[in-house]
Amino acid sequence: MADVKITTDTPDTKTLGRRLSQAERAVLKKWARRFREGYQAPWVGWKYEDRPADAPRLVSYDAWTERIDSTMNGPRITILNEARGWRSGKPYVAFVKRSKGAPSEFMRLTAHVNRQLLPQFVSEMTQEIMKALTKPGPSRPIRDSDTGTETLDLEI
Amino acid sequence: MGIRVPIRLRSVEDYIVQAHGSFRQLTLAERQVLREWADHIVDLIQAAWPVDTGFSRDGYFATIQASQRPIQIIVQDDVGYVQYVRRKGEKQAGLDFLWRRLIPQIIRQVSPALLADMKAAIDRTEAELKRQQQTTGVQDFLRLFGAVRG
Repeated sequence: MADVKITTDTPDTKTLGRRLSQAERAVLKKWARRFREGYQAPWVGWKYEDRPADAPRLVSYDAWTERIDSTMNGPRITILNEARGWRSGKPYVAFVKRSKGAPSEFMRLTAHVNRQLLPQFVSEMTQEIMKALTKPGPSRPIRDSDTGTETLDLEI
Repeated sequence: MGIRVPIRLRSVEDYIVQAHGSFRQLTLAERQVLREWADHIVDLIQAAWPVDTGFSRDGYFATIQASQRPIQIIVQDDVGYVQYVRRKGEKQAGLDFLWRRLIPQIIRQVSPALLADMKAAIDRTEAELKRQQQTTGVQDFLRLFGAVRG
């Protein structure tokens, strides 16, 4: 397979064991999009040797997408690219390089994303989860203590 | 299983032909506008999807196709049961599965603004192309179509 699929777990919060709250999920979504942009924005400037002028361009640029998992299995971000060759119809993104001998471009960008974005994501996600842990829960009325003595009258 | 909903933007294709004289691929800037709308559509679907089925809600994603006809936003969800989701009581009320109702409703809701944004982006491109034909070199032209970086 030459599709790209990069999954990011947050080890510290993986054992959360519950679905993320709305605020936590918003953080996860925001960073999933930033991760995608981390791959997509630099994914330009390709040489299109031997390709007719009117043939499709930026096909793999358009194919970058992100998915999140905010259920009990998460929090998790998955970045995907399942572009198909405009002529062959086959997957190819994992093989794309800037030049001969260079590392595959997605590997290079993964290193960049892991270095630049991942620590910020983990930090913000953890902070949001910590907020939920330290926030007081919904108030519940406490039943008045019953100070009376229960009695049971028996008669024989 | 899962679902796949290609949303063809025929009005955008027609507008390109009208503004440019023939069909052309979307430029990088136009693709970014389309991508933002694809993201927004996913957000709206997820916001309206029942939270009880969080896995299928999270499963929604979108890609775009801007390099050839048809220009489209493709909304997908690969979660195996997503096509069977209905809210409580909807089955008894005889309503169709949620995605079949929700996605067309959201597309109807966003399409005027989406098309206006895309037309504005195409107008900007065409104005820029005209300006470049008169004043600048091939490098700027290539940058417009994402063929060079920066």
